[in-house]
Amino acid sequence: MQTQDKAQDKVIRSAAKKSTMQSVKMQLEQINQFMQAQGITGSVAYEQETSHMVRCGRSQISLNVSEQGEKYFIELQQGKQKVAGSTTAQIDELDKLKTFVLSLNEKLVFMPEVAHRRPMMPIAQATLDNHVDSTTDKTLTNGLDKCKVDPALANLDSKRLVDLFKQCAEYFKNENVEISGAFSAGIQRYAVINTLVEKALSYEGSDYNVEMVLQLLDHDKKELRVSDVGHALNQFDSEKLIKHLAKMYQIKTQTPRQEITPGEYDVIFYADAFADLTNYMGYLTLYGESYEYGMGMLQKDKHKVGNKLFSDKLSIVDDPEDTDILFNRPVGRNGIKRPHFPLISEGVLNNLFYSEKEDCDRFNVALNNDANVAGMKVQTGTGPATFDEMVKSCVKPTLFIPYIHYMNFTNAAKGEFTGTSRFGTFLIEQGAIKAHLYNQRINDSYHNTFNNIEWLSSTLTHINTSNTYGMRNAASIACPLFVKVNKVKITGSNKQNG
Amino acid sequence: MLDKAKKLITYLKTKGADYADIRIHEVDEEERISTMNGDIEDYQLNSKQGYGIRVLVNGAWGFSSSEIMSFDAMIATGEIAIEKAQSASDFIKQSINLAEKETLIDSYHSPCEIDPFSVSTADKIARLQQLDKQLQHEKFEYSGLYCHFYKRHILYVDSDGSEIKRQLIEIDAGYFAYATDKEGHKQRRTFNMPQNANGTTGWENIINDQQFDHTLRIQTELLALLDAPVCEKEICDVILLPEMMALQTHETIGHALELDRILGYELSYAGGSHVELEDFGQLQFGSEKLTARADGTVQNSPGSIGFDDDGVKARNVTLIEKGRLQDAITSRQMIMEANDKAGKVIFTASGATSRSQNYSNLPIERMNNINVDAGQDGSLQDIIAATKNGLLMESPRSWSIGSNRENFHFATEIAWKIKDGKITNMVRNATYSGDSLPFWRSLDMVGNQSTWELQPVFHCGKGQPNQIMRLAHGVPACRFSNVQVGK
Repeated sequence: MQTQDKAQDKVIRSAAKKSTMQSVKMQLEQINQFMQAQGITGSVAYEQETSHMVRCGRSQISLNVSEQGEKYFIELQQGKQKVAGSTTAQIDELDKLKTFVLSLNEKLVFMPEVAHRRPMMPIAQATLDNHVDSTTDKTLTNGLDKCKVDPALANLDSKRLVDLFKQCAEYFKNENVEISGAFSAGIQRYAVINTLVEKALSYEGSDYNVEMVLQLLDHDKKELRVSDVGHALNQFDSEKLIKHLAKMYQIKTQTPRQEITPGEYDVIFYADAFADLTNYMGYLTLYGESYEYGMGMLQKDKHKVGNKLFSDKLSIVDDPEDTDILFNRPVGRNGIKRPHFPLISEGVLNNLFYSEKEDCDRFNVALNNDANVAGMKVQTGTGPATFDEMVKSCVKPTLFIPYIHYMNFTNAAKGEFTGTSRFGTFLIEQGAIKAHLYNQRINDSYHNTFNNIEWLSSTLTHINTSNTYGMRNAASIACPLFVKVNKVKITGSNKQNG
Repeated sequence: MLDKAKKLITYLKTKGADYADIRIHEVDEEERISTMNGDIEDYQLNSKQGYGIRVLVNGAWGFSSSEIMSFDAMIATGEIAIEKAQSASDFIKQSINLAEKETLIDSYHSPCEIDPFSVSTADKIARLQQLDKQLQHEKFEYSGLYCHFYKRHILYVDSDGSEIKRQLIEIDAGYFAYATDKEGHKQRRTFNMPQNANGTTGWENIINDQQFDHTLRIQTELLALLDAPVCEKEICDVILLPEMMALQTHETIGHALELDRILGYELSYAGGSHVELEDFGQLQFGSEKLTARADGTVQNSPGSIGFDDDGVKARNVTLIEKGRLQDAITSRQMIMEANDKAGKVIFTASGATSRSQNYSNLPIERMNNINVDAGQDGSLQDIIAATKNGLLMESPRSWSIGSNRENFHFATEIAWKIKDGKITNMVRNATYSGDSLPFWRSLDMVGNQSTWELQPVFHCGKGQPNQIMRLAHGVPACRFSNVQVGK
C-alpha cells in the first residue's frame, strides 16, 4: 500500500512541478508572443483538472477513479473571420501548440466573413504582479489572479472518500438499508490570454461535493438523501451528514405513508430543491443571450431590466468578493473581470449575464460577465432557521419537498416546468410531520413559484450545482435552508407504480 | 502502442491486478460546423489523446486515466489504478466477478463511403451554407444547421488476451428553425438527421438530395405551427412518430432496463428502476405488439461500435418479446452480480453494452441500439385511418421522468389532431404523460417497416462522473390508447 501511495505522490508531485500556475501562464504568454510575431490575432485558454471520485452502490464501492486532464482552447480571428479549436497537450509541448495554432490559422481563410462580428477585445489586466503561489494552502487574491486551493483536496487519499461510506454503513448496520452515493474532490485551473495583451490571467480552486442516499429495503425501497459541497476539506463533516440521514430515516420509518389529491399546496422547499428551481429559472431569466434570442421566459416587449418580475422577498446576487459564495472567481474564462452583479433585488430584475462574444456581437450588446463561472447567492429572509423550527411553523397542511428529480421546461416561453419530488416528501400539519408521501409531480411555472414566496429561512447553506459534464468546474448556489412557496401545483404521484 | 499496452498489462498483473485492461484513444478528433441565418456561426477542430486503465484487485475496480503517452506515465497511471482498487476493496460486500467472454484479436471499422475528414473545409462550408439558405424564411428569427464529425481510433488490450482495434466515424447533424407564434412565444422545429441502418455513415449522407426535402418540411411545418391552436387537455389515442418514439423508448425502456440501474448503482444520481430481478421472464412490460431489443449489430449507427469496452463482441439481445420482459442492458460484471443476487441464472452472457464516453471514464452499462421491431399494422396512413380520436406527435421539446422510470411527462414540438381517421389540424404546445407500464401495455398499433427509422442520440447522460453517450433507436410509428394529453 505504501508503495502505491508513493507512486501516486510521485505522479502528483511530478505533475505539480511540471505545471504550476505560474509555468502555465508563462507558457500561454509564450504562445501569445508567437501568435503576435506571426501576425495572428486570437486567444488561448488553458483548463486543467485533477479529479478523484469514489462512487458507492449497494453498500459497496462501485468505482474509484482518478482523472487528469489538460486542454488548450484556441480561437483565432481575422477581421470578421473566426476559427476555434482545442487540443490536449502537456506543459512542455510548446511546439505542439504552435503547430496547432498554425493549422487552425490555415483554416481561417476558408471561414466566410460574418457581418455582425466585432473585433476581439483585450482581456482584463491586473495592475499588480499576477504571480501567486499555487502550492500554498492560503487563499490569495493578488491582482485578478486567484488561488483558492486546499492541498488536502488536491492530493486526497481515496481512503478518505471510501471512509465516509464505511462510516455510514457502520451507523446503519442494524437497519436493512443500502447505501449509495458519490464523493468527488479535486482541483480546477484555468488561465487565459489574448494577443491584445501581454499577461495571462488565472484561477485555481479546489472543491469537493458529496451525496449519500439510503434505500430502505424494508420500507418499499423508499429513499433518503443528504449532500454537501465545499472548497476545503476542513469544511467536510461526515458525522453531520450521517446525523441528518438518521433524522430523516426516523421520520420516514415512524410516519405513515399517505397519498394526497392533486391540487394546489403550500410547499416548503429544502435548499436542494430551491437551488434547483433557482438554477433552472436562471437559465430562462438571467442569461442575456436567451433574452436576446427570445428563448427564455422573458419577452423583450414585456420584460426589461428594471421590471419587477418576482416577489419582493427574492434577491439574488453574484459577487466574486462575497465570502458567502464558495467558488468566487474574479475573472471569467472569457477573460472578463467580474464585478459585483446584483441579478434580482426585491423581485426587480437588475442585470442579465452576457458572457458569449459571438451572441453579443450578433445583438450588438457588450459582454459584462461570465455566467459559466458565476456563483449565485439567494439572500436569506426571516423564516425558520432549523428543521425543527420549520416543522413547528406549519399550522395548515404543508408539503415538504427536499429535492426535485429531473426538472425540465415544458413551455420555456411561459416559464412552465415539471419535475417530481424525491428523497422524502412529507406532509406537515399542526407543527408536526403527519405523514410521508409518494413522490409528487409538480407542473407549475417559475413566475408562480418565485412570486408566491411566503418566507425564506434565515440560515444560508450551499448546494452543489456542478454537473460533472466535461472538465471539472466547481459550482454552487448559496441558498436559504428552506423556502416556503404558496399554491404550488401538484398534478399526481408515483403511487400507481409504488 | 500495442507493445506498450501489452507490456503495461503484464506489469499490472505482476503488481497484483487480477484483471487489467487499457483503452488508448490514439486518435480522437472532432470537427464541428454550425450555421445560423446564413453565417458560419461556429467552426471548431478539437483533438485529444489519452488512455484509461482499469484493474481488478481484491475484487474491486480501480481506474485511472492520463494524457501523457509515455510508457513511464502509463506505468504510473496503472499504479494509481491499483491503489484505487485497493482502497475500494476496503468496502465491498461482494467481490466483482466477470462473466466468461471470448478472447479476441479483432478489429472494427465504421461503414463509411466518404470520410468527412477527407472533405475540404471549403466544400463542407459550401454545402452547409446551401442547406442553410434553403431552410431560411422571412418569418423565422433564427434557422440553421449543425454537423459534428467524429473520428476515433481506439486500441483495447486486456489481461484475458484480447487485442481490439476500432476505427469509428460518426456524424451528428441536424436543422433548427425558430419563429414567434401568434401569442408572442417562440416555437421551434428541429430535425435530427436519422441514419440508414443498412447504409454508411460518411459525408455521403450530407450531400444526399433528401436533405433539401427535410429543410422544406421543417420550414413548412414551423410556418403552420405559428397559427396553430394550443393542444387541448383530454384523454385520447396518441400516435408517436419515430423521433418521439425514440425518446419514449429511450427513457422508459432503455434506461429502465440498464442492469446497473436495476441493481441500484445509479440511485444517488439518475435514479433506480421499477424493474426487479424477479420480473425477467415474468413481467408483461407492454402489450403483445411490443418487441424490443438491444442490438449492437446494426450495420450503421452511433450505437454500433463492434465491441464494447469490456472487449465483448456486439450482440443482438431481445429485451422484450411480445410484451414479456426477457433481458436487460448488461455487462460482464453486472450479470454475474445479478445472477448471484437472484440466486439463479437470469442472464447467460454479457449483452456487450459496457461502454465509456471517453478514455478518461470507467465503462458502465449504456444503451447501444435500443430498437422496437416494426409491426403488422400497416403504414402511418393506415394507423391514422384507424384512429377515431387521436393526436399524432413528433419531435421532443421537453422530457421529465420519474426517478424509477415509472412515469413520464413529455412535451412535443408539433402535433396534429386526428378525428375519425383523418388529420384535421395542427396543434402547438402539445404534451402527454403517463405511467410507464400501463402506457406500454396500451400499445395497440405498431407500424410496418415503412414507418421504421433509426434515430441517433448523441447526448445521453448517465453516471458519475457524467458520461455523454452516442447511441440510437430504431423505431416504428406506434399508437397508444387512452393517453392523457395537454396537461
